[in-house]
Amino acid sequence: MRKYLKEFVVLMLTVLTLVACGNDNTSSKEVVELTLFSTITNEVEQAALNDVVAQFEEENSDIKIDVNLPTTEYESMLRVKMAANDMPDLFDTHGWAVNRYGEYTMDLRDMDWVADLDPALESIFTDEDGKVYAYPINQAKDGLTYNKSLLEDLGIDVPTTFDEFIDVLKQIRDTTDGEVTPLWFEGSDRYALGYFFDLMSTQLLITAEDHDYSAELLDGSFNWDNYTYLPENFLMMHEEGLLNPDILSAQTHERAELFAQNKIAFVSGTMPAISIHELNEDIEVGVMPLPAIHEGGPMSWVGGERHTFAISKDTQYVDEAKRFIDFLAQPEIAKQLAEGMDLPAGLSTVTPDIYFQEDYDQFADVMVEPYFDRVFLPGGMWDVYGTTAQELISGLLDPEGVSETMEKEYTRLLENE
Amino acid sequence: MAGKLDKLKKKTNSDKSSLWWMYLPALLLISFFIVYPFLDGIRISLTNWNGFSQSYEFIGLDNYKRMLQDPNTWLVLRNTLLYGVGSTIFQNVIGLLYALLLNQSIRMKAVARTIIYLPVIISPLIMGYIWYFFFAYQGGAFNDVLIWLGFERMNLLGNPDANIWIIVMVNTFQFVGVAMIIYLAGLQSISTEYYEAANIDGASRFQQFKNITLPLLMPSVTINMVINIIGGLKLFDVIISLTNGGPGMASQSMSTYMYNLYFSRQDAGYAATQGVLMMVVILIISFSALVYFRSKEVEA
Repeated sequence: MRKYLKEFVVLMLTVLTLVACGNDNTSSKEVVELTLFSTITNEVEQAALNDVVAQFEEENSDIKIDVNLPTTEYESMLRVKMAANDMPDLFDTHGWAVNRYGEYTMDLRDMDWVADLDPALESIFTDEDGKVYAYPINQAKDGLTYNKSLLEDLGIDVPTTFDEFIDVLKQIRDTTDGEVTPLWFEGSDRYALGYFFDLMSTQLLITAEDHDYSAELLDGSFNWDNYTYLPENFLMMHEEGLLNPDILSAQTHERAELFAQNKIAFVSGTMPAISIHELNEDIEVGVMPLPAIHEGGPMSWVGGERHTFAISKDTQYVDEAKRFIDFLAQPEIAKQLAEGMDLPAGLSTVTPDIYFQEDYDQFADVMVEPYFDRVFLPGGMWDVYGTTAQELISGLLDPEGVSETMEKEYTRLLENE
Repeated sequence: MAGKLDKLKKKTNSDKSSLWWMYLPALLLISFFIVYPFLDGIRISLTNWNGFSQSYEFIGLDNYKRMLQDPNTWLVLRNTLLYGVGSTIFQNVIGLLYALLLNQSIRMKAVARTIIYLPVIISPLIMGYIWYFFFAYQGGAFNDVLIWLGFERMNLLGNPDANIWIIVMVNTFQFVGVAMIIYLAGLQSISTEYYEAANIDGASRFQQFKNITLPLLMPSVTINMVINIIGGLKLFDVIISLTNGGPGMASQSMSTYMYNLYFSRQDAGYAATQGVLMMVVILIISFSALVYFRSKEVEA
């Protein structure tokens, strides 16, 4: 027996190998895994996305979606992936579908949902050749978020002009004796400050007929002295105690907490109401368009892309990725996702029931303008907005210095483009 | 006999030549993770690459000319030197004091050494966040104590003059344990005979420290100075978590400025240029420190 042990072992191994190779694999379906990256940061919005992904996987058992939500590190991660030409199958273009991610995205013009794309988004997602760059899950409609309950209690009306807005802020400061911050910023994140300047740049430099500098901004001849109004007034607001004293060190997580404690009256942009209601259901939150700066100028919403999905032009799984996008574009799914994120849908055929719908309806006639930096500024200016705002508040730059720095970087980046 | 010696020499030489192969794995790792990225970084610094596009142009030394004229270059260099030199001085002075204290026969010295060393094992990013919440304007322990004592809140992290020293303090707090351990090892390697002889000669404790301890501790001083300087000059995580380099550029270091240029300003070419400068600065300072402190070492 021992004499033939070696031969026996070899024979068994050979038999096992043949059995394994001859195994019929047709009974087990190959599962395709799609990688998906999104900028969604809010937990409630993440849950909404994960729910929809779970529903898709249930209906499409041959596809698995690997959801990646790097939150604040999204842009950095995608920059590295772009540099390595190693893009995820599906990724969020978050406002930069054409200008930044354009060369990495597949043309989606032949998909059925394109016909239902909200007209407000057509120029943002489509170029002059007709290429459609991404599918919008929702769209941004930004203005100022405010504590409706507080303003009602104080008997204060929503301001329509910037001068009225300053008066309202002063009224809140005086009436609440400093207990409520009139306008609060998480200024340790310079982008939060930059965001406010970006929003108000539209009102200062574009929307008023006699103060429309679009042509000069696009051809590079813009005089940046016209921008100084914004840093001047922002500094005034800081010196008058209309902003939070810890503006330069306040962090994002404090915003919902303080809002829920009735310690904030206004914040810049549109804040998800759910993040406040998780902490205090009794607070009524509202959004208002940006107040007009120039006499006779209009109020405006600022909007465009918020969360989207583009398909990588180099993906190995084109059909599977398109099936996912088609799934998202189904009316009931699109509505579910838009409501889960409390934002208007990207398709005109879908009307979600969202928290701020009453406010959007109240200001339905107010135009939605595109984000100022995405249209009128070269790439890289967003950081300059925020850095100069921080330096303004900390005394390292005066308002004229802010305009000079903006001009210097604008010129340099324009030459690079 | 000569024949046997020749054979032995040949065997030794062939043994040595076989040793060259053992360097290969390390050489490959160094080449792949240090040499290649370094050379590629220099290449990128000669371009106007934005960090994500597949196309860019070669622009020669334009980035270097811009670096010399950029006021931010000198600001971040100054901050980097403050972080490097400031942290090094505090870590070494406090580390040495800890080591001198905990080298004596006192109770609970093992526990004390452990407690002092514990911050080293925490991630610098987490350490920064821990101290952020300590100094936070709203709800931070520091400001809560100030209010309890009847003072006004202070926004130290938003103050461009104060927050740099907060960063130095946090970095010192985290890594003083390393300095302490190295000094402890150095102290324990000094023979007690020298102190016995000095006692007999009537030398005071200070004289013993100055003429025996310090000279014989120089190898430990060299090690500590060099690694602390390099660590301080490369500081990144603590700055990001405490101040994010703000307000504006006030607390940016060369490493955070480089990060900001690449990921926020879409200026990868210029970021690489700053990286080359950072490497040169670290090389010059750490090499100078190594040479200087080595020259002060004495033989026992």
